[in-house]
Amino acid sequence: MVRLFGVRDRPLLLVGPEEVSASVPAGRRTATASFGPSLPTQCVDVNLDSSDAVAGLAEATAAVREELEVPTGTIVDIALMRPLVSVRTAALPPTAPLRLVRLLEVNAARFFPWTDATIASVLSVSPRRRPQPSAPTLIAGVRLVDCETISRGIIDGGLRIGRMTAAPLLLATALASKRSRSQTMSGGESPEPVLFLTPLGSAVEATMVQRGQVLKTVAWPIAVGTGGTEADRQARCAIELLQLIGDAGWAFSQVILPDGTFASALAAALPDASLAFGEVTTACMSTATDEPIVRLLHAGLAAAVAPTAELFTPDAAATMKSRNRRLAYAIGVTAAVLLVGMPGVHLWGLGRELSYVRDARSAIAESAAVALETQTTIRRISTITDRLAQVERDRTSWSSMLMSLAFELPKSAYLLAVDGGEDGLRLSGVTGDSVETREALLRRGRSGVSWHAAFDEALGTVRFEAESEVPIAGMSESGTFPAGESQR
Amino acid sequence: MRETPDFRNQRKQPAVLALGVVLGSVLLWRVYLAPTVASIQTTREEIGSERLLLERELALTRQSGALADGWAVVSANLLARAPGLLPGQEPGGPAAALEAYVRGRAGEVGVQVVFPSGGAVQSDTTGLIRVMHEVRADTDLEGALALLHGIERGPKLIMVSELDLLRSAVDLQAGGSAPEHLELHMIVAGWAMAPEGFEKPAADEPETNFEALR
Repeated sequence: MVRLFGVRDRPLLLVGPEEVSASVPAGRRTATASFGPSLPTQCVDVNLDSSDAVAGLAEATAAVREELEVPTGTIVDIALMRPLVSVRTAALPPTAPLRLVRLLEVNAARFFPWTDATIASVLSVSPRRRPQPSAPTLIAGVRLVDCETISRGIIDGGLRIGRMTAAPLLLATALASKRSRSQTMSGGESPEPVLFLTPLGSAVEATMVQRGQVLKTVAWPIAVGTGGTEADRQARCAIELLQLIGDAGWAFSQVILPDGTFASALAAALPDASLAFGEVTTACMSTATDEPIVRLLHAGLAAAVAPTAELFTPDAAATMKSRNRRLAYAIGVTAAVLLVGMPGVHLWGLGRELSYVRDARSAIAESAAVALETQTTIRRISTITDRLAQVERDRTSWSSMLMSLAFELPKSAYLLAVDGGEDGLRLSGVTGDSVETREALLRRGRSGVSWHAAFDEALGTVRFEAESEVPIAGMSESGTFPAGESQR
Repeated sequence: MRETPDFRNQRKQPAVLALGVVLGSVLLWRVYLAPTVASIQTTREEIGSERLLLERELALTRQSGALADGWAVVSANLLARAPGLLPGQEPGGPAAALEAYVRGRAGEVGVQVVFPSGGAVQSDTTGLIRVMHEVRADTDLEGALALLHGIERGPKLIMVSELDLLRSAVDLQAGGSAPEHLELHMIVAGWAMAPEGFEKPAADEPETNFEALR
């Protein structure tokens, strides 16, 4: 049974400060139930935050639900009437509907200066889906606590809430929409501004429309306890409203009224009213229905731009919260994946680079090993040959040195001992001429030669000792052995 | 009765969430990020060293032509100097060759030589081994000079590192008129190619006994 109601055919629950009206558009049936406590007529700051209000609203909701035979759990749309909602015109930037709603939420206190204004609803009456900067935009605000109370009462009454919006905005939308207007009323097609007067619960709404564009809207509460029928009270309220509009300088060419007792009563009362407009022509809606206002509301609900025509019900808020959580979760997961994945990807890249370098080394490993071995061998052989050359160059030629000494020493001298090594050369011998012998040893420029000579009485000659600290190397190579001088 | 929101728990939620984020971050750093960063650092160092080796190997392979030329030159040099080296690479081989060579040179000039001690072998860092022998002989000056000349001018690269020539007391008392008689003592050294991997002398051979030889 629930599935029989599509979004466009949902039952509409019109909630006012004193009563609840439900309507099913398919069967054109309406039901109304009142709940207490009754509210002051001009109370703008309505407070339904009480258990009594919730219980009364739940009881009234259940009554209309049973009367219209709407099953329990059916999703219904909610339209809040004044003064539960406050409506005003605002120039808003050309922003996407969803962002516009967020903007209004943030600036709710600016547009609706209630002390605890925490939420706002916006309904663009522009026929385009996005509000234009030059077009006035009707926005409605409701206190969050009232929204919650109403939601709780309706849910306790056995219904589920689909969309929750403001009834004045639905009316304005219906009046501004040519399609909706053609289905529900005549008139309003004039290029001149026209004024729609619609009784709505405890107030009468006046909306000035020109070429499908809502210019202004205002509501005036119906005074209670002034006698007469409801239609008479609505007519008196409408006349008061028209007087206010005249004083405000609104200019319009025609007043359009809903068909029914309200129109008749107002038409009867107008001649006696002293209005500033002079002659006011009236036109009525062409379709004679029992509840034209309800039809307007349904038409406005259908014509409303869906994302911007809703107040945030608890379900919608939960949905948005869930969406935000999912978005935050997705962002968090993405960040975590990046945080975890980036080092891994970087390490993987480094591993590939390392394997590439190693492959390059492997490709030339054989030739490089051969070249390295060749280089090492060349160095080793060069070291060996250099060492051998150095040995050959630095080795002492003892035979040449001894022959040189034999030739250089005077004939009176002969050697007794020769002691040579890497640290030097020591000579000892006897001589008859120590001076000549010493000069002979020093003649060839040997440095560091120490000389010691003493007369040996036993031998009867001079015994000398000479020592050179410098190793004697590379002595002159004088060729063959001097056999004749060997006795020296 | 309207439900009262649990504001206390709502206030705690951000703190719990922040604590969880902090603990999770620390755990993530300890368990995953820190080891990964360390691995990245290690891999970078490996890449640096591998790249350095690759550049060196590439430079080496590019020098293959020059290496071939160098090989030819050093091979010729080594072949030219090879006859001067003592044969034998096994321990004791070069020492025996040195002894035989010196004995042969002495025999050519008619000098009797004695090798009072075994040869000493010393490894050379250049890839050569140095073999040393103590040589004693009783001869005259002519024989000593002929022996020295033969050793120094022979085909082998032999160096006389120490030389002691002492005229005997008999000659001194004779006042130079007696036949010349010299005591010759010298230490000769030769070189041989070290065997592959030969760094130190064998354990049964003394590493060096130069002091004892003196």
